[in-house]
Amino acid sequence: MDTVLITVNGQPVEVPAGLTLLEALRRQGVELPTLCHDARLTPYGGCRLCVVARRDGRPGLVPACSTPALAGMKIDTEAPEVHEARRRQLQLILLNHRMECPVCERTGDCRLQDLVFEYGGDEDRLPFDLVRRPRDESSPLIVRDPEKCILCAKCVRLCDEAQGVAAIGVVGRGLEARVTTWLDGPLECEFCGQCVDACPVAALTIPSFASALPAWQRTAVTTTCSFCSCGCELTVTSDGGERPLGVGATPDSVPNHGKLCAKGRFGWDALRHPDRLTRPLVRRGGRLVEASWDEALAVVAAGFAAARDRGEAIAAVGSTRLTTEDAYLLQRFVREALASPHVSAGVDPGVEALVAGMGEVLGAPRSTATIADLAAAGTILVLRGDPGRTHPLVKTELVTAARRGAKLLLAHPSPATLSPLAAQHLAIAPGRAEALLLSALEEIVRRRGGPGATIERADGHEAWRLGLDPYRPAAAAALVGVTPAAIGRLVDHLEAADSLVITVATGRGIPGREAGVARRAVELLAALGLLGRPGSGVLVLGEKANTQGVVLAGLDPRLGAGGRPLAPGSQPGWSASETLARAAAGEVGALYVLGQDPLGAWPAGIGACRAVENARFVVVQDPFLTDTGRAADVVLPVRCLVERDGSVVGADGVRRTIRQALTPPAGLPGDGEVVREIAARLGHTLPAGADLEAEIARACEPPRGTSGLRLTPPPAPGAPPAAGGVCLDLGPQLFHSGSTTLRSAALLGLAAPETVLLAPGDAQRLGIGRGDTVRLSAGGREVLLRAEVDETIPLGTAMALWGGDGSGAGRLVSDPARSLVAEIGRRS
Amino acid sequence: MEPVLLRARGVADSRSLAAYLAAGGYEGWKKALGMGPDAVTKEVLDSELRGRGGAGFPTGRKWSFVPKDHPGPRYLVCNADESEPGTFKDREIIEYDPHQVVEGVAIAAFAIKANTAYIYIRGEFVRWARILEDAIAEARQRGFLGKNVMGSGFDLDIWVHRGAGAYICGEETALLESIEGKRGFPRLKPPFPAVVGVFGQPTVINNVETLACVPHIIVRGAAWFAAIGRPKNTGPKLFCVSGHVNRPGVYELPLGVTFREIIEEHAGGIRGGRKLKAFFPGGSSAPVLTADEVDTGADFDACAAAGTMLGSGGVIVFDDTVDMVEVADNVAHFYAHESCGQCTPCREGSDWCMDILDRLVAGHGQAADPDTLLRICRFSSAGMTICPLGDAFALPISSIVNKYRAEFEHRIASATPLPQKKQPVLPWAGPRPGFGI
Amino acid sequence: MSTRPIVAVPPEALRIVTFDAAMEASIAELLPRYPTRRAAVLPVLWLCQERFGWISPGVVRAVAARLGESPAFVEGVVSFYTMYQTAPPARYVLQVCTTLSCAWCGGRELVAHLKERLGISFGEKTPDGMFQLVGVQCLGACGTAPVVQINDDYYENLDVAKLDAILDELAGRS
Repeated sequence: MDTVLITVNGQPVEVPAGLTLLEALRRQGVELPTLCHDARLTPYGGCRLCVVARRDGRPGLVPACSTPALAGMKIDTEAPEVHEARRRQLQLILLNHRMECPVCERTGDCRLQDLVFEYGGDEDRLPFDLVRRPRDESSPLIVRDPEKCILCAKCVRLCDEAQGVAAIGVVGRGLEARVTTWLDGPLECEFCGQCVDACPVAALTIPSFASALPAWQRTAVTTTCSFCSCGCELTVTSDGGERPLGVGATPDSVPNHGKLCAKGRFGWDALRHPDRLTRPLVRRGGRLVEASWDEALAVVAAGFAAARDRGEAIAAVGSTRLTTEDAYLLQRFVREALASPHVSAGVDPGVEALVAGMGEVLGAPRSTATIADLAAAGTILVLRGDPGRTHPLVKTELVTAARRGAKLLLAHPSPATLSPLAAQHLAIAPGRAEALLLSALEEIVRRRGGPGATIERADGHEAWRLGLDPYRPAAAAALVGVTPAAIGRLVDHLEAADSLVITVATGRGIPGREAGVARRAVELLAALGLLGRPGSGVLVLGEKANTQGVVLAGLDPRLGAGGRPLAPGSQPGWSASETLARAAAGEVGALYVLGQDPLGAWPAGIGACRAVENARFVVVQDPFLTDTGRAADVVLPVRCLVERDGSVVGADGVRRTIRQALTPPAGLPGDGEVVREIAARLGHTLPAGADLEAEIARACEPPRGTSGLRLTPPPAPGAPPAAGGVCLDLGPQLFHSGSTTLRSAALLGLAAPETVLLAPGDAQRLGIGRGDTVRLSAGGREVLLRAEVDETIPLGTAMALWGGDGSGAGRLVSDPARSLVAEIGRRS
Repeated sequence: MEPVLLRARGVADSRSLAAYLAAGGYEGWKKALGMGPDAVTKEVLDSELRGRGGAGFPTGRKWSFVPKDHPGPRYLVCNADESEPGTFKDREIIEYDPHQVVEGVAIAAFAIKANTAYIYIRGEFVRWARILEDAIAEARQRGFLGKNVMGSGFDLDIWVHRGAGAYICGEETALLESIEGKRGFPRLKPPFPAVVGVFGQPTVINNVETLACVPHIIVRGAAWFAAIGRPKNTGPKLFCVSGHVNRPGVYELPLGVTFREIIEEHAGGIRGGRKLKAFFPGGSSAPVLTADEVDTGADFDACAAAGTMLGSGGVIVFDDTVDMVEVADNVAHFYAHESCGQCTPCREGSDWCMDILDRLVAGHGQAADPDTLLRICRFSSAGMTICPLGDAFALPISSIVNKYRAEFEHRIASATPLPQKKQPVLPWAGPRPGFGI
Repeated sequence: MSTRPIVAVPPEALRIVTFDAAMEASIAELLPRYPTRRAAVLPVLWLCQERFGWISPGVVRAVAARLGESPAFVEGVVSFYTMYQTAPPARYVLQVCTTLSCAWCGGRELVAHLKERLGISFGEKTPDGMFQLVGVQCLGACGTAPVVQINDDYYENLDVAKLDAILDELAGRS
């Protein structure tokens, strides 16, 4: 790296070339005062506090945040004139800052306060009246107090540059400039709360976090968010772990660089929901009654032992919200102590994409791209769900990438939040992402007059090539729901790519075969000659926090720990769906459900109800009393992830530590401790401590080298949906995506009522108007929803955002892997 | 001297392409296309033409800063956001000779290999925006603009982009933000526009008058241009004289004449037989000069030596009836109104100055006021602000306090205390009351 | 000079704004001039102001949607520039220059006279909606001070008598 020599306060120092003075000095450990600087944003130069004096012949003071460090510069950061300038600037800032430090909620945690302490106040501090500006409490969760605003505009710039939302802006000019929403109304935004984190004063605050506890008496624990698989680092401030008093992230947090979403910031009130259990429940005389841990565990051990001794099937359905350690212990427990192969992570499309998708095509069930790759990628293809709703951090990375010039290609049926930034938006029919990829592959292979080298060498190439034929864009475009020319343009973009990251969002309700999509995405990279190229790859976005981690822990009937194949001779166990089907058929002696609520949350068609009814002995382990729990024989309450020590593996394959940031109620144990305790009662010892850590570390290790590419012949193309019905695209909402958000009053307050969005043509054909209540039916079930007409919805498609919890339109889902065609009509 | 930039003033139908062609118009453009970009830049460099917008930076050097190996597009921007108080020369050029501007834009765009040029004109100039648009349309129709100009293989589009009422957009980087569709917040420099300009591409921004000089330099040669005026201060310059003179207006004179000659000879002296008291030599952003300093030379270097600047050449003349405290207050109102609000010292400092001066004018001055004003000005200028607007209010106000301090002291001596607390300002409740009037 | 009056579309007709074919055609002509859609914000706002007389919140929302921006962003732009009218203007907006040369060469007298003749202050409209008085900063016509801009047109070298004649004519014509 090139370096330049500069002199700082008389000391010569060598700094990397190309930095600003501020960056160069920070690397030397010299901190300068700033209020408007944020390394994530373009320099602003508003506060003028970072000024330094030049001692190399050039007169005057220069702002360090925007002055490049050039060879030979001599800088004085602490000269008397520098200090005086900073003091004067602070005085000017204070002219229009309502000072009420003793009663201000940011006292002790306020950058402006710190700086005034450091540089001193002024004799004639407030010569004139403050510009009066009313406090705005009209928004949910966030309060704006413009009289405290010092116009550093960090909030505005983050909202625009990092979030791509621009819900707030600087309005007016000169002294009348102020930060506000459109027409000073309530915030219409994603409620990521970044603006609040960035605010150096108390102009933006979260009243639900307000506390009489001063900043210096709060405790802060940094952990990993457990809502989705982005793996954001967050810091929970609390009163010793009892109540969350603030959730934030620092600009240097990885991978999120200070960004969080509404769930990660506001969703933690769910932990104190009345459904939260504090004591085990055991069914006695037909009723669930509280029991001691000893009693409950004895009943569980006896129940499992009885089933085992009777030779009945025992099955465990875990969850992708378990820590990696707990998932590992669970699969060891079931496979060894219960001698059963039937252990799975529940119905999680992310697991399918990893195991049946990535695992089958590349030999390792993991993503081949990281979230960090998005920052450098030249082209990004976004498949299936809208990351703006499922993986908010990924969305912000895509916004940043598009703003720096990356080409964004979207294949999504409904109005994706990213479409204004996209180079191409293919409004494909729901569930047709795999068909789109196959069509693109056919076009690429045909254009080349033959397949690319990587593909040609791959196993199964012949059958694969033959199977592509029916996907020729001219023939398959109608099935995909776009024009052949659009597929041609997509291929033009793809062929021009130097680096390509393909994101595959997974989540319940997002229709389509996720395993197939992941496989075809890998094949696409191979066909373009980008497979294995650094900076290119497929990023599978698991729905829950630890989708990747539980797969690596071996919590899957098809794989062992580390994604290794099962021992020779052993048969794969049942998947979660099969487990439930078997249970419904009365073939299961004991059913152990952890962190899942099949009754409450799973699609209706799986028959969870009869499964729980017909299994002889059902144990549910969950932080909350769920519908399944209510039907179980024993319910064991456990900690939530934020109350837990351990690790999770994010969508990017990086293993991250989670730490206990909040105290669990009644000293509840974690999932792993309960499993270990049950195992002990069955005479089995599970690994612990350093042994456990060594085994987990080995399981999570990235694979060495790449195995060959295994091609799977494309399935025969299906038929486009019959006229009359609409193809229903379901997807989680940004503010409500499952059973935890369902228990967060803060998030439910933001979530929109369930609505079905229709194309204008369909609405007209069906005689449906905006705001009408419509009946959607499929597979003998029906739901009533409010209709909206949206011109961005393609004809023949309807979009319903739901909570991912089997409520509303979720009740129509019978097989999450299939497109859902629903009958729609006005409510009669 | 023989009129150059204003040669069309008084010619019948002077705006038409026919009249312009009859006067030898677009010959420079034809010649430039034959010379090639580097030779054009060299000619302008040799002419020692300095920017007429205010800063006086050598135009040829500015052009040569555009990276030669830049792979993407480049842009030429003509700054017609004439808003500096006391300045009305660009409007005069456009009114009488718009093709002169179009030709200058074309040659400059060619010199930096820009295929797109924008003329950013202040929103109030509705008439002059139309005049430019008509001229561009005429030139395009005649093949002087568009694809493959006169068979040269060079493509050029010129678009008029209207501002919408913001003095700050005359500052080149704020202007670029405004073209990009944003609030006119000036950008931090570096990077300079020649490297990262509009839409992130290399961009040269030149004033209307600067660009109007260019065709003449190309046609008549750098030596001819350099022979006008004084060394390093070459060429004809438009001086705008306004205020208390008998013949206000735009005068084309060689750089280096004295302000005495401009005011007394060309503008006919002080009206009503009164005496000169003070004048702004180059728009209201330049420190004020007193009657004693009227022999200062009207060029970039002589003004700098006198502690002021030639700026845009806007000479605002005050006779001996004028109260300089009121002048300072009027200036403060202008800049407080035009401050963009991005950086603290300008936003808060200009407003604070205005409040103090309002109070002084209202007869409620306080003993500390002159020194407070000087202190605010000191910390709102000389690198403390993002753009020159900090200097633009701080330098004239402090020059008035320094040169006419007695008038401040006199007001303070007869001042009464503030009758009551100032009413709170409610910025969202409507426009500001009054502008110092 | 015949200054065209402003015909402001009433607020209730500008709550929800959709652009008609003519407007879309004008926008389509503007967009290719710039490499980004955002750059068209100022020109499109000008089109709207010419068409509707002013920029209502509904116009802001429509411009934002058309150009892929947020309403808060467009509002930030509108509020930065003084010439975008955010309330329905009078038929004739009298923009009196109040800066240096104009102020000292008769501008103050014009302001005093206008305030008295029209019975309104800066920022106000006459009750009949005919005239609106606005104090503006330098109009860039200092050599012909004092200057009043009425709607799009400059009126220069004014005095009280000339201005009265102009107002009489404008008021009489309507």
